[in-house]
Amino acid sequence: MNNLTFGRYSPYNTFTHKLDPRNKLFILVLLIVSIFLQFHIWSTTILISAAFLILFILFMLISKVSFIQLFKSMKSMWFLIFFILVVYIFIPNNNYTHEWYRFNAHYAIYWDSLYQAGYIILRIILMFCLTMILTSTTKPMDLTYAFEWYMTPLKIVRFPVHETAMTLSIALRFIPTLLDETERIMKAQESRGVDFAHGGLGKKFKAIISLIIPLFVSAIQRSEELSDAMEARGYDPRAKRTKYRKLTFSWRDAIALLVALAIFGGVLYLFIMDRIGIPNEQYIRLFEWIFKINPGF
Amino acid sequence: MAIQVKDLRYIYLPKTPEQNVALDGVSLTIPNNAFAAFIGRTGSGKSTLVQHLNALLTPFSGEIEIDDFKIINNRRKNKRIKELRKHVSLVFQFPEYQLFEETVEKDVAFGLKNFGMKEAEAIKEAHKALLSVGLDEKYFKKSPFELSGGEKRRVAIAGILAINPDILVLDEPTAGLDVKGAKDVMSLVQKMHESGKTIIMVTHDMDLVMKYCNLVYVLKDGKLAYQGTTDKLFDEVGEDSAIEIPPLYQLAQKLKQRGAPIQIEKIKSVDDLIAQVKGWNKRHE
Amino acid sequence: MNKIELKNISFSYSRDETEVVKHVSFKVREGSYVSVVGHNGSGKSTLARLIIGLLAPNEGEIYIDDELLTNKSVRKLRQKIGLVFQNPDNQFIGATVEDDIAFGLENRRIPRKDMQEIINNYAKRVGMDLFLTKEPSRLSGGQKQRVAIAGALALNPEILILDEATSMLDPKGKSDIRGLINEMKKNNPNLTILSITHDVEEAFDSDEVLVLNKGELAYKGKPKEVFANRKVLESLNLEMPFIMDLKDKLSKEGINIDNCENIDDIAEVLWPSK
Repeated sequence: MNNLTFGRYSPYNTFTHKLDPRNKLFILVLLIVSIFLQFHIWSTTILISAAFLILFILFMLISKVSFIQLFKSMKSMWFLIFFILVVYIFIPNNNYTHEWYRFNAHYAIYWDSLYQAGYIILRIILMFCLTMILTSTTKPMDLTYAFEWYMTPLKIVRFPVHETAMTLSIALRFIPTLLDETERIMKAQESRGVDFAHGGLGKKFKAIISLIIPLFVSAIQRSEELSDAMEARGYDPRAKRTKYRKLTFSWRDAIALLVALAIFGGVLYLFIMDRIGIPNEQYIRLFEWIFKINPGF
Repeated sequence: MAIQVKDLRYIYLPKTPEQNVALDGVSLTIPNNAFAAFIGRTGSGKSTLVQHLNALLTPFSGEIEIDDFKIINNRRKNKRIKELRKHVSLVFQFPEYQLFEETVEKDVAFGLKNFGMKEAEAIKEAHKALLSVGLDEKYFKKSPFELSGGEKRRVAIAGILAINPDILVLDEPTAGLDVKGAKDVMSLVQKMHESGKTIIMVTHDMDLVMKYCNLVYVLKDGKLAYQGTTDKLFDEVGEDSAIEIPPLYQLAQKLKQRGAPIQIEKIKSVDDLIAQVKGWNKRHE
Repeated sequence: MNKIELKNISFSYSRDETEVVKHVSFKVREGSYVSVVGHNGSGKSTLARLIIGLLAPNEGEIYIDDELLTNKSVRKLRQKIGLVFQNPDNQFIGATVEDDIAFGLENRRIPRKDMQEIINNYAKRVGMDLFLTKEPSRLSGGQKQRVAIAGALALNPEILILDEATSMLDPKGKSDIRGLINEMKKNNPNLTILSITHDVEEAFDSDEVLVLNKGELAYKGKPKEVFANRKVLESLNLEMPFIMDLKDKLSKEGINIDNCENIDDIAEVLWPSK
């Protein structure tokens, strides 16, 4: 499947690629929390978001994440972004105070709504960038190892951590195989005159059935053969196993973690300041200076 | 000329680290009513090439002309795709994996209905196709999933035959079948060829190529390494070529290197070789 | 010493269905290379699953190293057997070549510090040492099968069962695996190999051939004997290996190639160099 680009691992060997997946997962959580901290003073929010954007672009460059791929994968997001804009702009809210354009006595568009919508969209895009960096620099299998590591404490409450991780890793292992299979069956049915792209609801339904049933039949057969192969090689889910893969925390991880903690700490400091209510006049002035406008706060 | 391929290029995952040039400027022609074979190692691009013939893949550059159809590198400008797919049909490797209907006859009729035939008529045509592959009334109402491997294969091929294409492309039609199953399928294909269809077969099995085909195209690393008649193939391709040379022809080539008066182009089987060897021995004595 | 012994084995997938294996008995000696051939549906693949205990026979007994295969002994006896299946994709469990070879080692609780050496060693033996970090989607069918063989051998089995291991491969993959099996035989004379195949050329390399027909053991003997009878092979829906075919037809012309080891030797007989 050529058009499936989002989340694809790109086999480079950058700094980010070499990081411990556990560490990357932790950093991802830290940074996402940082993005989602909201400030009372909107100029602070915008400046911090802009700083994040620049930072993430830098991260993407370091990790050799392709920007073209990022935009391509965001295709599916345009509708969401449009939807958010419409909802925020056209649904009235009594808390809005800064009018931008008034249609009539009852209806107006407010700066506040634009700001709110823009902020949410920006956060979604930022989160998207982060996830993209993680998935294109980390093999899916390494992510499973990281998940398994974080889930280990759950063993105490008898959660089947190992089985879940094994299931997940086999599912990941077979995704490319099943995608190839899907493509093959689609082509075979297309040769029999099926049109997956056009046609009415009834035709489309039949087209999907002609894909799904063969796919299931082969997936079931595969799973039977796979379980035989695993059993033949002595796999027993209840038995103890040793582990070949060892995740190692290196100096690179220390650096990356420190940077992430510094970013998180900085944003958290500003957030606390903001909540305590210390007005940050400098930000406003800086903002006014940059954009040479004064919306009248 | 039925099929003309001009400077065809195809790249998988272009502009990514996994980019892979599958076809690198292939030009060839296949005349009407040929029984042509595409051979080459796995990854040589032969499967990619034949998938262009009914526009399952769109060329990266270059073009293909098939009778009055033209396939170019612009997906949107390729019109009449459905008509083309009725004209050129492709039977994939292990076609039994495409079966899905609840009865054999319905599965065979499926393609016909997609090309606009009414249900009753399609079932009637399906019966004809099933009989032609040697499956009688007993099979019509059976579920395709309860048949043996060889029977499933024949149902799947019947599904394509029912469409009655003029050009039939088969990707490894005998893969996974035993001697008898393979013979059954090949005599079926032979019959199709005799009824005036153009047959294009992708295969690894050189015995099949030598026995059934009259033209052969050898691909190597996305390029055409040989095109011509089958009888000259082993005269022209040497040891480290794009294909595995069957032991019969290895022997024939060795004999030729030793200066034996062997005519490789006349050898199609062990018997042909022995017919030639017989003569020499009399001279020796 | 018998490595594998089947005594009067019968099997059907369900009670009311016809038996796919009927009263089959045979012995496989330690260090021998035995091929089981037969057409599709002859029951030969069911045999492999019976021997490793993935299926239980309706009737009869299976002995591995003279020990009866039962529910209790299956785990222990299975450790002596490595199994390579037909479909290269459906037995590739690990994310990469090294992980896949490691899978069995992890199950056997081999300490991590020893694993790397074992993996490198067996990957090298099957010629995959330069592909350790490659994912299955980047390998050819033949390469995946070589990994499967390495994965089985890494567990140091006494018996290696190949269940149609080459039937989905292209000619290059087939001849690679054939060469690998012959090399294994040479390097490890104690290894018992049971190969289930419908490729008569491949079976020709083995010490003994068992022919299954409709679930019954039809013939048994040296490949040169079993494959010499054209009529029998035809009735069993099998082809004659190329060398046997050539030998048979040449002998009718009064040319003897019995002492020939390879194609060069035959060429020498047919057209002697001076």
